[in-house]
Amino acid sequence: MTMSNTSIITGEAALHNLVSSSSKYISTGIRKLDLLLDGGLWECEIVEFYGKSNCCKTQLCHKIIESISCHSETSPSSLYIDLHNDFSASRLLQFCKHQNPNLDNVRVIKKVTIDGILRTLEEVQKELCHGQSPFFEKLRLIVIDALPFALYTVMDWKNPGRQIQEQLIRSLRKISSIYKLTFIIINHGVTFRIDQSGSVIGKSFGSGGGSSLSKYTKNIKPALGIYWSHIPNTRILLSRGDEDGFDLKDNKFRATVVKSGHDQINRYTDFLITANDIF
Amino acid sequence: MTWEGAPGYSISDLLKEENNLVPIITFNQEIDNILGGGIFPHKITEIFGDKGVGKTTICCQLALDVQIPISLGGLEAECIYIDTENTFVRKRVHSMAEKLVEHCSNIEPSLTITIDSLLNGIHYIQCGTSEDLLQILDDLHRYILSNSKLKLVVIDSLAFLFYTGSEQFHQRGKVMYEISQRLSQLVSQHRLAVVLTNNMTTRFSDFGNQYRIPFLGETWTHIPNVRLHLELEGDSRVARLIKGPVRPIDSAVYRVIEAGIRK
Repeated sequence: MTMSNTSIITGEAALHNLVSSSSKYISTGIRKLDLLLDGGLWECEIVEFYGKSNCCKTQLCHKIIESISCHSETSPSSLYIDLHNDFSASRLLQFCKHQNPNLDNVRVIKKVTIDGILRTLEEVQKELCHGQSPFFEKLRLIVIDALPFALYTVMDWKNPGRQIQEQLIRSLRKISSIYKLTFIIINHGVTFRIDQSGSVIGKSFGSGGGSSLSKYTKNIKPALGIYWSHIPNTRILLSRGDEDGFDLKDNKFRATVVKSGHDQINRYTDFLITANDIF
Repeated sequence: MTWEGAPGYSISDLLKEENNLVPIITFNQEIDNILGGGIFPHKITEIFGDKGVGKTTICCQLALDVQIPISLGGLEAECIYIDTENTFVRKRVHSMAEKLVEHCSNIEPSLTITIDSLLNGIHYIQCGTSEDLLQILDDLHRYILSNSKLKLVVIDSLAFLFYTGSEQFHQRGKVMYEISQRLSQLVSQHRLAVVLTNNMTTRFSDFGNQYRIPFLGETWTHIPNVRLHLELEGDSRVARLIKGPVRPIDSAVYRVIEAGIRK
């Protein structure tokens, strides 16, 4: 990356740089989630939410966007890249507590193919670089919901679609680090099976979120494979239902940190989701 | 593709669109309530359940209900019905159409809706394999451009295509995502609703007990926006909303009768 100097520095100097850096985080608006994330959504980072169907991944992102962008005209802006017609403006509005929420800081881009996303990210980068648009000047969060919809049509068991993945990852990393944004990537989770001796059937799945089977990962593995698993700085498993002892009617879900650059893993918190809030 | 300052859609644009959506009713008010008014356009809805529980009946009901005139609160649109199992029985749909015409005429006698017009409003396609389906979905874009009244695509049943598919088990995931992508493209480009059905299968747990799960498996569960589970509970049939964009998980009781789906 051309922004940093390439001279070799000592570990002590590196630690000093880290401690004195002005790297900031922004609150998600949900106190318990901020605690799990060591403050909130950090600049230059890629956060992944994964889980089985209907575990509130999309709804959580709606709530976070509302907290970050809808309180006032001067709030940071958010971009939601919707790959599967999951975005709901009415749901976003339900989360708004203010009488007159400011809705101009949120924009939704609908794409369906991986080409569409790559081109969108190119355009986003151009706009961020030009600095002409007020929306992009204040941009702080980009949500992609959900990555498997784009990638699984070009990758499968035999062909891991490495080139396309690399292109996408380069784009995500470049945008987040140069322009100091956070990406939230929504991923799918599926249950893996265990044989009688307790070992996992099938391929292992890389860094965080199930590189080892534990009671915290709850035999739910994130999609997109080993190569992708190294990319997010933070991976959060969302789960609800019987395996956590919840009755689905309780409208509760659990978030477990399975990979983090900031803090211990395997911490988890339970949340309640209602018609107007997540807390 | 360059934006004039702000990309994509604004929230107020989306809100306006969402508030103007007209759902396709199922004729059972309870089911309509748990769905949030009925089957919503711009979403992929999955209906799954055991054989005989009423999936095909609901599909036929929706294929007719999408044609309800605007003056009666309907969409006055048409439906593409993709049949994979040959469960579409013309005689049954004919009697359902008869009851619908009767119902509409009682409210507004001057309507021009007839049994024939209702049957003509269902564009019927047979489909044998998943490759066929991908081809059909590709061709549908052109077909819909010349038939702009089409607002509903029904696939009954999607599961059947995978019973004896030519793809290997590990390819199945990719094929599902390809189908998902085509359906998403249809939904977003042509602003229509997709309803598909899924059957059940038995799985054995590690402890030897049997349980019933949807046939298409866990990968598929992420793909529909709305999932409705139909099942028999004693003497009654129950519909349960398993996944939905804004609704909590809820259930409703329904009946299948000659006229179709009723309370």
